[in-house]
Amino acid sequence: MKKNDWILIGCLVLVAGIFSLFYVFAKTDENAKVIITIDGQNYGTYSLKDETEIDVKGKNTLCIKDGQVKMLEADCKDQICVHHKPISKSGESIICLPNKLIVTIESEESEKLDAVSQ
Amino acid sequence: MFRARKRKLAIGCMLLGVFFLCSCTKYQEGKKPMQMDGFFFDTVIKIQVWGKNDENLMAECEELCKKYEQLFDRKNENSDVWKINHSNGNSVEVSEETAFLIKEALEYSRVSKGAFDISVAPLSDLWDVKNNPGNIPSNDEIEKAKVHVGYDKVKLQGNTVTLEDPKMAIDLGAVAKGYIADQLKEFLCEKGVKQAIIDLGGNVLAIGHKQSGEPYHIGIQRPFANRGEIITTVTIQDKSVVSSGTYERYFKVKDKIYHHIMNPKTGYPYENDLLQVTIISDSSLKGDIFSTMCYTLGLEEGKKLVEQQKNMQAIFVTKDETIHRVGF
Repeated sequence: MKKNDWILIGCLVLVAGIFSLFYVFAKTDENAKVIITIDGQNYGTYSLKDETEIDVKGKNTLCIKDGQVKMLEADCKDQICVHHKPISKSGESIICLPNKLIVTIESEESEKLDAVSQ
Repeated sequence: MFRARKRKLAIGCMLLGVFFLCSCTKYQEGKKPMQMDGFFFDTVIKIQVWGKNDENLMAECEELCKKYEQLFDRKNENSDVWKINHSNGNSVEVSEETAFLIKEALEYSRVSKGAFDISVAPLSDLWDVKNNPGNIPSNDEIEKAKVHVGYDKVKLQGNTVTLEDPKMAIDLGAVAKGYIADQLKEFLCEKGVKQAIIDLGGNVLAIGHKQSGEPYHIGIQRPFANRGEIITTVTIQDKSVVSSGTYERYFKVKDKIYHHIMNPKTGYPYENDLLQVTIISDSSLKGDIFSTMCYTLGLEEGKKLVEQQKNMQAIFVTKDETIHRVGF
């Protein structure tokens, strides 16, 4: 093989490497979005990478930290959302029924449950 | 000369690579479902449809939900159920859908010999488990309410319903979600939908399988754990998964749990060894009815009932958190 063949192979491997890295990273949770809706209306979209506390109209407080979303406080009496386990995977959601609030995680990750029977 | 050709080749390969990657991204986007979220029937509903791009479908699903909520919600003064419960013993003409649902519910009330009963509303109202901070009704109150319970006093002729005892009341809460899920599925299938998940507050009904060809993966809520924490999973295709259990609605007094599934014979919540029953079936209405019915019957009798059915599987969870799978 000539020197140029090696250069060609090297280039191809490099290009393939860069693209596959890009592809892998694009697919991980780094890109996951946290979506909050109230009565079906979009309230806000955040990144799961964020480290933040969100006050939703003084009724619900939730926090995003370490790739997890947790409901910290709610002014409703059933408190089901506050007792929901922290969510981190695509398709998971926390719901506050009295305040009609839904927090969902969306990403391209494929390994997940499609629904939960409750 | 050779070098130039090789360079062209290299560039060609790179372009090809980019092209393939782009097509990958496109494919990923194709996987995203159309989605509808809403609040109906005192719960959250979520409908996801894959492989279609017609937002009208979702709007029509919402309309269907509204229509059925209007028919079956006993707190709504315009509903069929409200009319029946406030008829003072007179006959009431209801819609075909309501009549069908009552007919089905009465049928299974008979099958379970009254363990499952749609006329348990006077007891449910007395206990009001959902809003009860911990007041156990007195024996006297319970006896008074119990007198007005009995599915055999609900008469159905064609689309005409008569409550023989004017103080009775019916509640379709234990059957409505299942029925509505089935109707939504029928509607979507008529429109050519091949892949969808209809989730009515934890009553899950699937159309087809995933786009990848794999079955859907459905988690089963772990009783009394945080919402969303699961005890086991099932894989399904074109099936309904419905769970019933004591953990859904309850209050606690001195470490004793008082839940929402009422025993019409005692007037108190059922007491047995079960925490939860999940039914996997073709029809979500059947799933809804059988999950409650099997809970009321207990582990042994419930298992027998499921084994007698065609195309039905069940998961019973007992108080020691043991999982009993039936029909798998």
